[in-house]
Amino acid sequence: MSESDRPDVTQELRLPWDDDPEDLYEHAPCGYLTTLPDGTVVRVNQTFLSWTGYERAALVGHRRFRDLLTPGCQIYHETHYAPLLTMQSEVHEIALDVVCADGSRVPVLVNSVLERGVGGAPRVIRTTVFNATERRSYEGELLAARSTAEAAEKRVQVLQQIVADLAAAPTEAEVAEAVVRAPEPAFQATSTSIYLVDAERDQLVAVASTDPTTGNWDDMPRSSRRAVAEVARRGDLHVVHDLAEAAAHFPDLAESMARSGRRTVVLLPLTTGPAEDQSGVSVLGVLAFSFAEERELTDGELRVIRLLGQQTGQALDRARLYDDARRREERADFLAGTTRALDEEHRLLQRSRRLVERMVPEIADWATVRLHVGPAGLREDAGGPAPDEDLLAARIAEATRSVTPVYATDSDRLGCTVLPLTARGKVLGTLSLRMAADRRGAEAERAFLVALAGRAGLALENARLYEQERAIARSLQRSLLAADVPSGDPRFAVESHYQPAGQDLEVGGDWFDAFLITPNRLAVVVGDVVGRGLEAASTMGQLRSAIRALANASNGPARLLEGLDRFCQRVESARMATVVYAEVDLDACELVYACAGHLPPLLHQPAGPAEFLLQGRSGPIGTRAGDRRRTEQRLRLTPGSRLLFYTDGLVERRDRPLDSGFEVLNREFSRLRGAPLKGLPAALADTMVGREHGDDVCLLCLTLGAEERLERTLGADPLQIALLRSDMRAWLTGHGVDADCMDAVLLGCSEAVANSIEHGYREDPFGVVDVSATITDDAVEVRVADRGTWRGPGHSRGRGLRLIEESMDEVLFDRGDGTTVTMRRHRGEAE
Amino acid sequence: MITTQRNAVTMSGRESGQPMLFAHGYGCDQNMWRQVTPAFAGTHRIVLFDHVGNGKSDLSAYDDAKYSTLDGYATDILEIVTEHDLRDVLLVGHSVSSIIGLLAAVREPERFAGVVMIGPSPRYIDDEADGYVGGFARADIEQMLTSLDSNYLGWSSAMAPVIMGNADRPELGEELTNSFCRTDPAIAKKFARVTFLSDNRADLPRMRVPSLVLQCSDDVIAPNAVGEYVHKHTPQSSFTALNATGHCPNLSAPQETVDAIKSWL
Repeated sequence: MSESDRPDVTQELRLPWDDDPEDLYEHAPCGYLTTLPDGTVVRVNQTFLSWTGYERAALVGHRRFRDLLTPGCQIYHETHYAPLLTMQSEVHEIALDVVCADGSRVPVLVNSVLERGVGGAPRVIRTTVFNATERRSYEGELLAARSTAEAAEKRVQVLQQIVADLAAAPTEAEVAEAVVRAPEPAFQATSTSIYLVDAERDQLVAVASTDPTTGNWDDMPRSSRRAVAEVARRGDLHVVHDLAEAAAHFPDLAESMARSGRRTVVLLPLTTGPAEDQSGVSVLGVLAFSFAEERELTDGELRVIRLLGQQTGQALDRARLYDDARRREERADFLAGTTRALDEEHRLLQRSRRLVERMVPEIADWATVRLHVGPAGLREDAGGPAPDEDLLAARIAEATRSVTPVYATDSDRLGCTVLPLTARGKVLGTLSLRMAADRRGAEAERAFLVALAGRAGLALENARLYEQERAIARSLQRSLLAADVPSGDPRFAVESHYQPAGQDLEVGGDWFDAFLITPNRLAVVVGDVVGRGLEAASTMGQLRSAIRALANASNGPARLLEGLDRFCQRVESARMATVVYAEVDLDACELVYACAGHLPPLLHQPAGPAEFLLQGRSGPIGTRAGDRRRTEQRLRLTPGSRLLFYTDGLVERRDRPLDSGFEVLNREFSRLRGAPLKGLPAALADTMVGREHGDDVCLLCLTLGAEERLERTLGADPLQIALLRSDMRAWLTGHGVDADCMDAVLLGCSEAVANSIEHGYREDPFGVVDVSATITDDAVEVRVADRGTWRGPGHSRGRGLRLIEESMDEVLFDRGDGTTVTMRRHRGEAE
Repeated sequence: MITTQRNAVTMSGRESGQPMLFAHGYGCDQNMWRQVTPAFAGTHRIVLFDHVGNGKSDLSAYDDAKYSTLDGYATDILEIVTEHDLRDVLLVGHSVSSIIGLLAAVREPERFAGVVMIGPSPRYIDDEADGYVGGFARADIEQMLTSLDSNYLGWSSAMAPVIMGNADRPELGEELTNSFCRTDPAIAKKFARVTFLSDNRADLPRMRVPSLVLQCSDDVIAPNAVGEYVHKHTPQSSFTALNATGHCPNLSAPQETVDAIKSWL
């Protein structure tokens, strides 16, 4: 097509060019405003007036552009538009809302140019205004779309965080805690609660909520008609869109929605897989979240919600497996720990105590063990408060009769589980427990309790048997040791002491014995059987009898020990027993002894220091190694000699070497040289080992002939004079003192003591008088000493003194610190 | 120094002069003082800065918790003053920054010689409980926030090219880019919220530093009655009514603003 072929368009275009510029201004397709720098309208076109409905006269000279805006836009105008216009002299496409004369609003886009006069001072502002109703609604959609996109992004972020939290949550409680926080940021939910299925109790348990006050947030049976239970049974997401829908299906939900002002509720089952997959999907709980306003959920949101349900279900499943494994481990640990704890106590009472203390508070808040032992039974309680005794007694009776555990149930007034304690086919008693609430009912818990009762029953039965055996051993030992040792013979005296171990141990195998083989031959034994308890006690009894049987006038110690060696070929438990055996010829004052692996006896003769008898030694009874012949040692003793036989408990102390034990024993025995035989072994045991000792101690002390020296300490009490006289009479008799001499010594001694008490200690009731008497072949010497101030001869109180001087051959007063009277009487005047 | 970077602090004027710290209001940055500061540069040390989230400030320093109250912004002013060891400071605050400046002076009065408050308002929303008139209803503020959203779209997509095309006055384009395009819209919205929803009336009587209230005529943001309220409740305050209209006399009537400040000094 050529240029000339074109139509002449100038003809067509002419008409608008002819348009009146004034008309163009007034009816332009945009609003025009001219304002002063302060915004006062000086000119406005018809288009703007038409859009807004204002009269020209109402605007020009009266209103500022700013005044035509909504208050919000006025702020924007003042804080953004005006400063910007001043700074850059023009602004473009500012979105504002103009308020029309009728109060309606027109969204507009505004462009303004600031004209400056001479010197740059602002002169006038020209503004074009475009109706932006459609554009703004489009922008509104854009904004909404942006908000939606941002919400979706936020939702995804929240869910990613939740998934991460779930992966890190090892327990159901932590899973619940993580999930219950999800719906608020993800879906702008108002409140959220989570219920978990407790299969054992057939309950839906309310475990966590962001607002426990809304709704009926509490536990319910799985069979409940309530919305949460219904959805848990169905296993698929259920959205209750509004109150009417709730009222039609779930009255309980409608009521709580109305009460707490919620309009839409989402009930999401927490499942291990998608709802469509019917096989193998189990519902582990329900997440319920709600909105304050009616809320339409998009398909995308519903998809995400379902996904949340599955993710949570899987996390719960995993947590349950962890929980199970951990509980199993905890139970196994507890059982093992209980067994160990019970083993530490041997006695029945202590072991029962240990059992209930182990239960509380670890698994129960109250526990009692009741055993059918003894006439009154045994009972140990721990924790509290104790339940109703009558109800408990009935349940205990039931458990005992049926020999079956009776478990506490949720609806149970007593709340206690009673477990029969059985061992070796008999019911020993019961263990009753009030378990912490979360441990009730579970099947695994029951299996655990049965195992616990089994172990406890066996441990208590063993303790009971131990107790029984111990009692037998004790009485056996006591009966053996208490058997009479010979006494009343002035040629010798025997004193023994047996001190059981201070700790609560079984009886040991220590023993002593003393018997007359012939009227002139005394046998003395101290021995120690290996081991403790009933077996040791009975072995000890057998050895004791064997020794008595083997002892005869012709055998002697070495032969006797050989006899014991043979004996223990038949009585295996006697092997390795240690024995010291001694025979004393009472007329000849001759000692023969033999030590079979036992500690050496300690001898103290009147003249000289104490010494250990280290001869006549051979190995313990039944020692098979080496020379089987036993040796013995013979020794002459002076009358007045003391012999100490003892077991290792006396010298062995953990905090002291054995050598040092012997040294201490030697020293102590020497120190007590002058002490009367009576009470000597007990005093030695006390000094050597004290009360808290870990082993039995057995001592036997033998004195040959009468004591060389008599020493007594008397309180300032006239009654004690009679005791002194009796002791002294025996002592003098033992030394064969004649009757006259005896009477004289007794009289003189009594008077001297009486004077000390009566005069020396007139003002001192706690004063003491020391009396010592020694004897030689031709005389008896008595010394009486006090620390008081009594009066001597020449004083008016002289009758006592005169009696002393008359009855004794020599009397010597010594008044230094107190008074000492030394009196001497020759023997044998009557002969 | 932390504040130099964070608040884009700039120093000019006479180095040994008394420090004058200018604090811009909501919607602007330190450039809004450009017609005011030259009048003081010969005698004073001019210190300018941007609130975090505005101008050339470090956007990453924005902390939701800290800036949820005006006190957080006051802390920044005190940190600027401390870090640069400014004493005997004259603080000139526009709009919301006049209240932020007052809060700073209440906390550390010994640092400040005086506070100039241009268009202050201790509370923008009317309080029906005691009859206080701030000029706005709560709904107005929400609407303003919506208008921010609308213009956020406008600014980001349409405004920038227009500004960049302003070839004959490049400094304006630069300024606008700085002022608006670099302002994070999310922060702008939060700053708007804390600006227009705060109530600092109780802080006025605690002021111990002399102050000057500059009140524009016909200011819809801070009406005359509000300026008088501030003057009445702030001890040692002076009150000067300006002929300038609107909310930004520092832009619309810089000379009158300068004169008013000088005559008070």
